[in-house]
Amino acid sequence: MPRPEPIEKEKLILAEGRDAYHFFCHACNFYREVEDVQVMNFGGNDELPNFLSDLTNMDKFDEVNTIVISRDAETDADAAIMSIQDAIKHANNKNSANIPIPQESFKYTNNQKSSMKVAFMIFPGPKLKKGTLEHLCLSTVEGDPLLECVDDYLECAKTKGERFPRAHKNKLYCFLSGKDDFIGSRIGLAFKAKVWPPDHLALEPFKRIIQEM
Amino acid sequence: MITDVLVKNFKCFKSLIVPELGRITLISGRNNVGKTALLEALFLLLDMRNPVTVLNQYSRRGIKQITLTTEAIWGPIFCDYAKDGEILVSLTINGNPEQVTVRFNREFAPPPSMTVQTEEQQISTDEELTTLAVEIEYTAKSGEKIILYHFCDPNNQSRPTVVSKTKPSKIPLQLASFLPSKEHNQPGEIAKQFSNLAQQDRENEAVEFLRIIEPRLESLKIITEGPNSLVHGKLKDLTRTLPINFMGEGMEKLLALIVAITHSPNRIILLDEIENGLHYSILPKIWEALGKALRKYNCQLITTTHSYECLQAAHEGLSEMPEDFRYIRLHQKDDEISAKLSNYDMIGTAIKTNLEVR
Repeated sequence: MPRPEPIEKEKLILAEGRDAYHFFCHACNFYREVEDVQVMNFGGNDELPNFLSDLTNMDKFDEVNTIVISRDAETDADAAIMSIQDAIKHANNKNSANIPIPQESFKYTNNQKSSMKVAFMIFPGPKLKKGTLEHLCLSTVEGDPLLECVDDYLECAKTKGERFPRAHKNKLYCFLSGKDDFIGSRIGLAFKAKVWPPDHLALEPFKRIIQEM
Repeated sequence: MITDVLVKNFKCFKSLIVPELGRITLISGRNNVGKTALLEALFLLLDMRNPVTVLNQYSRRGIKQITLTTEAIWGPIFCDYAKDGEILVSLTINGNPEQVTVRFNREFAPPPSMTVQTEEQQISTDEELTTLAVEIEYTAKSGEKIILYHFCDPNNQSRPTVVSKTKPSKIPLQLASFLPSKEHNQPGEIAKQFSNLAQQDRENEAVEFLRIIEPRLESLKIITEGPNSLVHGKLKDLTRTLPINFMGEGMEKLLALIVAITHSPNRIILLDEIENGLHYSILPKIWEALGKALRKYNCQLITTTHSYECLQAAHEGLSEMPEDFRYIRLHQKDDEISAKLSNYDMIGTAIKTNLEVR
């Protein structure tokens, strides 16, 4: 069993799942000069209310000054925002915590009464009503000629009876498989390898949140 | 069942509030944060009629002899030895508030006729003799106050004594047991409780429980040798019985626990470091069996642990009674200690996401 994870840093990013966790770890290494951010994986969105409640009960939570919570918009970014707000309210009510609640994504709270600032990142990005982190990654390679081949391949696969309920994932991993150096890579390793150009305009809101932690 | 706790000025606690205890409450926290002290605070109220209740606390912590001074006898139970302060333990038991306050009373001089109870306790007497009394004021749910004095009588130095202007029987007796971590439980006491169980022809309940860790156990019996009675176990393929204490710490601990639960219902059991002496692999089954027994006999278990495996096992073993489970982490910041409360679902998420919640 791996050692249970304590709170070790004053700045936390809460990631939805392992892929997002690794993506944020590599992004923090790239965008920040010092290793002062701890990325934690809260599992699935259903776990977030209890995860936040657990977090507020943990040793050293009172030293945390920044929390960034991330998740995919999936089909409804507004619903995703509300679910995170509800999760924070749940933790605040449960444990008399006082975590500030952001009103919009990719923007830190500015609560004078709290020493903590909080933001959430709903992917693919601000003002986008649906999508995922994978969509954001793909948007950074729009125009890559390989994507035409990927689209053709997936279309061909459909004619053979394959169905793609999560087509963005199929597209992303086909794309990575089409690049010899990145066969089998997940989105985090691909970030580290700069497959997703880290200074791409589409990554700006994400980059700003990481740098302003 | 205790549901809410307020402790003030007791040992490491300046003021500690613990809300929403469950039928099964697991307490964790770093070393020296007051896990055992919290159990002791609860037992101070539950066991207040016992004149050696405080000395028993020291004994369970390995201090068998104590100097007969006010400071040495009563000082350690006050926060920062602040003898001018007042200890408060306030509990909600079965929905009713009850509390005790403990304070020094240097002027107290007991009339001999008021002595109502004595117990043996070894105390050395190499310092000044004074009237070493603390005044324990019990407030019942009706608001009625009863005052007891625990004191060491200079004329009877080896026996701490409790006296009262009121008959102690006026204080409602809440059944409770304190099972220590380091000390062996009193074999004679366990034998007495087991005997009670045997009289009701229910000794198999203990046998089945102990089979979780010793599947070869066939039966349990009381064996009297000279003045001593001990619980013996009969193992398959052995020709004679063995005292349970010779079968290992885990067997001894589980026997003490199961007879405490089963020999009389409606009991509050305080157990220090539940996982000691038990292999991690059987912990889920132990929790499951404990949960069922506690429900069946309407008992409450408040216990401490340092072990993440124990917490995981509790979550696994109590999956059919999640509403009965509470987890409390005692948290220290500067010199203030507070209680962080989690329910079954929160602990499930913490385990799933591998959070350090101890």
